[in-house]
Amino acid sequence: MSELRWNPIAEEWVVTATHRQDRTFMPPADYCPICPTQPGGFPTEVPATDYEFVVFENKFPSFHPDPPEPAVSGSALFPVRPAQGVCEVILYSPQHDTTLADRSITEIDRLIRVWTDRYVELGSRPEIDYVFIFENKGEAIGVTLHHPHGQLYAFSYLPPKIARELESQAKHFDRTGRCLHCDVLDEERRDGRRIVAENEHVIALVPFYARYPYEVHLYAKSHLTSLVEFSDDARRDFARMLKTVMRKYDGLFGFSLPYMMVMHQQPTDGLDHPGCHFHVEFYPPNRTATKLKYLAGCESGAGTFINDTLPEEKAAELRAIAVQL
Amino acid sequence: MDPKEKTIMQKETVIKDDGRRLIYYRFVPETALDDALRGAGGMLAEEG
Repeated sequence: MSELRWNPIAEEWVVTATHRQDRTFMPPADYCPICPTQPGGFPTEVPATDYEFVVFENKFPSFHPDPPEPAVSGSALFPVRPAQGVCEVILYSPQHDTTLADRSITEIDRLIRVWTDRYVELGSRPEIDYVFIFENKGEAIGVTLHHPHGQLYAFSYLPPKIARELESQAKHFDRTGRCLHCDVLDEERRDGRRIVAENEHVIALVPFYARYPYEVHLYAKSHLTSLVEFSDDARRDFARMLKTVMRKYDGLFGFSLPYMMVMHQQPTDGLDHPGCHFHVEFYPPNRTATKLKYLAGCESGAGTFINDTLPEEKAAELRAIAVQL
Repeated sequence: MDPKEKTIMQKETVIKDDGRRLIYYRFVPETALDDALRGAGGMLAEEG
């Protein structure tokens, strides 16, 4: 089943979720479990013949709203606790053979409203400290279902990467009285070489410290801490920029580029986190059309990424790709 | 944003057989809702 086991050396929780070994793996397109259910067809997760967007609780969740007791006993050195939380699947389209990049700006804008609603609803639960919205796309990332979808994990604790980012933000805020991300953006804009695209409200760039060759971060230009703070116009610009980046990715090598897309925003733990600044990070694994970036010994064992490329050159490459929106 | 493009987000939650929640999200043009309300109002006025 599922539980949290504490790693006292890394000071982080590890989730055991043994039932996920049995999850659906690469079903044929005509047996997709998240397509709409067709008349006379097999019942899928969605008991309707059509939909705009659907959200449902994952059948094979890592976290559960009402989790079972841990299967093992903990100790002072090895604490365990129930894997409480929520894992949801967000279906972007009833069409099987499409991607988020193919959807119109209006449809992406609506998806952002769905994400915002999930952030608000799940974040209002007292046991939820962090609502993490993400998408894994492509077999290179380990995706098991091709139907266009994203996911959401509502954590009952702050995940370690988020906690570390919050700590950096807080330290910078204490030292300077300013938002770390706003200062990063100012520096990137002064330099300009790593900017991929921008519009009135949102900017996309390959960060100075990119770990993946085509890593791109999207930022709200003004200091917005979460999806909730976006105006209608800013949200529309966010939709436009998401599509721009995904289209550029698809224009790189002539195929739909795999990626991980993650959102970082204000925790929902009710505590003050100075310097939180909403942003999206894309991590495509490809370093060329045929070669992938692997998290090998140095990355996995030492925590140091080796980027075989220069962010300035990769940003120029992405900037040069013209896209139709 | 063009006022004609403004939509209301509607949610419908169903509970699946195994107890999991599933939510349908739909976006309805504000103008369509306005027209429906006006239609209902007109009908009420006629009935009155």
